[in-house]
Amino acid sequence: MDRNWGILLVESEYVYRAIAKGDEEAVEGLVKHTFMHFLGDDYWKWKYSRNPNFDPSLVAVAEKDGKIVGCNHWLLRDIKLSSSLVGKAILCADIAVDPNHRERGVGKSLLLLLRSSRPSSTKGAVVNYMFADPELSKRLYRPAVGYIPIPTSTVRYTKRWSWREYIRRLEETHMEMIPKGGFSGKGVKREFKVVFHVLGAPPLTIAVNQGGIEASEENVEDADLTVKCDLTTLVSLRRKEKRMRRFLKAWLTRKLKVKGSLFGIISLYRNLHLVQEIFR
Amino acid sequence: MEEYSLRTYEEGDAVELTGLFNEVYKGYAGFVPKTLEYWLWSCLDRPDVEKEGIMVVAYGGKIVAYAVVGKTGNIWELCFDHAHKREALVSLILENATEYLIRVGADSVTLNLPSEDTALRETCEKLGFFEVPPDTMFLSVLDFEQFLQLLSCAKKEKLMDFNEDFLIKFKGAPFWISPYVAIKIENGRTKIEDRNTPHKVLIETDPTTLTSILFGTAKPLWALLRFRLKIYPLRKFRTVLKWFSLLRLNDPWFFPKSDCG
Repeated sequence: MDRNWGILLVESEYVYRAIAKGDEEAVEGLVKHTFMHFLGDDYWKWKYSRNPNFDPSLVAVAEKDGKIVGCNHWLLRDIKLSSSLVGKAILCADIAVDPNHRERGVGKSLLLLLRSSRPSSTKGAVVNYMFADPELSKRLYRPAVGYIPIPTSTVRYTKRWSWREYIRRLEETHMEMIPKGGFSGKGVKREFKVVFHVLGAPPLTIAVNQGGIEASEENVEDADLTVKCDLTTLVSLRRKEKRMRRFLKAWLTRKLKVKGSLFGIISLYRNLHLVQEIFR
Repeated sequence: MEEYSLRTYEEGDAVELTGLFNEVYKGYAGFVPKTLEYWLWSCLDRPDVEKEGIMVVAYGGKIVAYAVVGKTGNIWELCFDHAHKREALVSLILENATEYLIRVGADSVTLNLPSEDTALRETCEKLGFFEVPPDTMFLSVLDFEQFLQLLSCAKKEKLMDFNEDFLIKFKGAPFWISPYVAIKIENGRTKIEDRNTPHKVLIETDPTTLTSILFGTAKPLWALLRFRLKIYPLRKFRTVLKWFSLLRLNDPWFFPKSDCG
């Protein structure tokens, strides 16, 4: 160990340690695979090796049989905790775990390792923060290290003129999305078509059939269902937890307007998981 | 009469742009002060940013606004001098950013704004933008001793008439957090003491509750009523609640997209 860590975790099949010389390529590959649809190929090199604040002693990796299967990057920075108070903070940046090793506590162990490592306690940082999916945070980060959500005065605005990227991603992955047993259910026709009219965006048509899913930017006339909503509502339906309750609430409060045949509504209800996959 | 002129980034702009960024956002919690080197890395060197994507608005030879627009559709930074007509500046920048993004093949444009700037939000809505949920920020305290001392130093004047000895005992503290923090406050001065020093008030809580109280997401009285905060002797509860209310951080948190990605 050349990073003066003092801690090395060996848990069942995995070894958790600091990043070492020679690991960079594997870590970069893992991050690229996990996040490439956000920022492209050069992301890791830019964010870490070229970052003026990058400190390799704040990067942990998980290894199994000599292969890097997980990593967690922390970045030290000064931050204003209030208008008159500046403190040192650590941004818990990308946590990436190989898809074949997820749901086995690798991410949690990486977090715990960094939290308890000597470098993280000797840099003078008083707080640790991260930007994360609320569902993931509730399930993983909060129980592991006690993160609390911070009330923010940040609002986000967006404008969309095309669904090209969603359609391309859907074409790449649609075969993986077909649930076991296919899309059809008892008493439900095998094919259905939904048009999404999302505020501030062109229409998006999703056709589900036995062969899979097709998406297009056409506003088709023969759709079984027309869904009108804003992106916030759609994003809230993306989350698995209590999705059905949120769907019904959005429907009853008219945030989500669904128009079409009963068959269409039942089909959408049965395939609500698609919303998560399509709009992820 | 002078007019706003829009151009793309030119060599030598970075110093002025960094200064404008630091000036505009310095009042927010969550602000990460930027050095020139850090700005160049976080904006100009960003993989999806090209010089054409950095839009600069000048007025009378001075830079009054800029936006860093990435080809992925993200406006990483949007900054403008508040002394100028923000609606005009933002409209000019967003219209050009949208044109640029359509030209480079992006599907959408996304930006972060401070929520209290209603005029700016209305401008965005007029331009066809819609609100979506921002990234959720999560925080935890790494070192309560240091954090409480830092808070106390910042709020020294408010603590001037405060004289008390507290011992905070954390229930269920993970192994990296010290289970006890002993604090002595005397005429505004806060000292971290040895845990065995005699104390007048014992506060029993857990790290998450204390973090929530200090960052204003939970009310101390609420925590007390739900037994997530215990005070011994109980008659000192007013003192403890007052102390927490003096330490509490209430400023709004804002972070431009360049700080999250």
